[in-house]
Amino acid sequence: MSQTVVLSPTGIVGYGFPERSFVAGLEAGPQVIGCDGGSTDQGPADLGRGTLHVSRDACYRDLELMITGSRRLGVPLLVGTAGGAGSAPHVEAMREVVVEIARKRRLHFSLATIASDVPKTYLHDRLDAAEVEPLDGGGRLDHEAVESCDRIVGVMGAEPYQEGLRRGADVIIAGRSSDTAIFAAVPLMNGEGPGPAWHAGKILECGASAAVPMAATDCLLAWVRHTAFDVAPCNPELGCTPISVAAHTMYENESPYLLKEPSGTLDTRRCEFRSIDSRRVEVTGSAFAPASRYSVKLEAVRLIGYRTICIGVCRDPALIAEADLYIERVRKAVSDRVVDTYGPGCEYRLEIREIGKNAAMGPLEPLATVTGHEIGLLLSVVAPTQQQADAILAMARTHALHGEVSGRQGLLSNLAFPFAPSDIPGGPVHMFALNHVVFPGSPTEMFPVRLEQL
Amino acid sequence: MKLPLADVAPVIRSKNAGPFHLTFDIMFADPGVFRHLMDTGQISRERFARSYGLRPDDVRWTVYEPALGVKATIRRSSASGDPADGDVYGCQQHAPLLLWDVDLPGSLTTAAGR
Repeated sequence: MSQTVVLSPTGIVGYGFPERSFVAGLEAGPQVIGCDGGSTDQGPADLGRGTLHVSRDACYRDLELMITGSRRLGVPLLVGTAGGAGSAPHVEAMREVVVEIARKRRLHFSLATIASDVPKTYLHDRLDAAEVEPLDGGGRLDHEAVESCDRIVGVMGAEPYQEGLRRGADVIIAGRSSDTAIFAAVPLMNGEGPGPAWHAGKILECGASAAVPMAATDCLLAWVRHTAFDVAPCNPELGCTPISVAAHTMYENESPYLLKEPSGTLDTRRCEFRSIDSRRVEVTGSAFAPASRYSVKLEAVRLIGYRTICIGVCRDPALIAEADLYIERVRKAVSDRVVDTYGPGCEYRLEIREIGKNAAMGPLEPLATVTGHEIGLLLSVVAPTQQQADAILAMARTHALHGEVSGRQGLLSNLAFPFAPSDIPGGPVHMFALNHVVFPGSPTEMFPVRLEQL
Repeated sequence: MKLPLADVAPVIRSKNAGPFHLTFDIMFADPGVFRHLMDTGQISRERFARSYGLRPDDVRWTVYEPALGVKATIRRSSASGDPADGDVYGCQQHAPLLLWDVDLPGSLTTAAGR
């Protein structure tokens, strides 16, 4: 019976994994090792700034084990969404790590990098050809919105990986990818069933998160066949159960039944999850319906300004009781001082969050009253320049420190600042900008593959 | 017997589903508890919507038998990481669900881990 064994060492490159688990995984004879490098989970900053989601040192440690393991077995290593967000600087940073590891370990292999950056000219052309569609809540896209983006990536499917492998790549460092595509690429090339290949990919993308106890920083194996797949963790102290595997099918998706991929939709409605032994689960019934049109999801960010923050803690019950009113007075005072300083028309955003009341849930918070004996005020200013953000935050801090409180007399100082200086510049602020898919001419045209011999 | 949902559902969580949506999972360990709560309408889209001040139409609701769970997906009021957003990962939005009162017959409270 044909099958493809896939090894996922950890949830995200750099999250770490026990070396013993990985060695046990290699002993199972995987035909491919795959690892996800990130997502949009951490917010828009990494994509906007080109910064790594996990430290370079932690990525180096994980990649060194993965590369030496992959070379010892002579099987490919596929890394997707390199560096956390998968844009050009992320792919280049991870490429440099791979080159350094190859030199240090005296390894020679063929390295492919796959870019996922979307040139604005390409998107303008697709817009003109009516080959762009909004996703839920995305609205109609126009040329102006495309122009306002500072960085745009497309989420690739399995095909760019397959092209890299056909061209002889031993290690692939790819830009933004569907997490599942990293793991589905090789089983699909080997002719395993597309339903099992994509569903196994979904389970593999978070390391051993689908195991009990849950372990995003441990290794998971899948055996992908024509009509079914099995999964089991490599660490003998962990196990998979039908419920733990089914539960991971639900994770971070809008729906547990229909999971959208660039080339179609994974349908898990008829799946059955069955224990093979105390650690291994078999999944049957996964189906994959090819899409009528191949679609690539876009992710983009736009620079909206620069941030400075400060945190102060209030312990006075009189202020806690009237905190909303107090904050309103701070807002008004800041607004007046900004006009005094910069004239009318200076666009800034001042957020004052009450930690201890509604800082986590904002408008979704159902509890209206504060029950604690202290609240934290988190002041955040986003302004057109860092200098203005610093200046306006300092105004907000002054008014938040010395504001009036009912029943208190004299010059009041109402906040305990845990640090000096109290104000912390936060640098550039980006917002997610697009929620659209583009229909490319081919699955690979947006994702150029570049090969080099190390 | 009345119990908080947190005592009978081992998984209650929220998370981003992309930058523009929040998704909530409630999962049970015991099929009997899951079926009872679903059949008696104690876990419902309407109740979820009420907890978050939303209309039922704002909630995409899926019952997922294989994991003995339900999933609710809603649009974020601001995208992950926007200046107005207070939870970039969307992972602390589930707290109101922990306090849902649920009623279980005595025969099922042991199965629910009580």
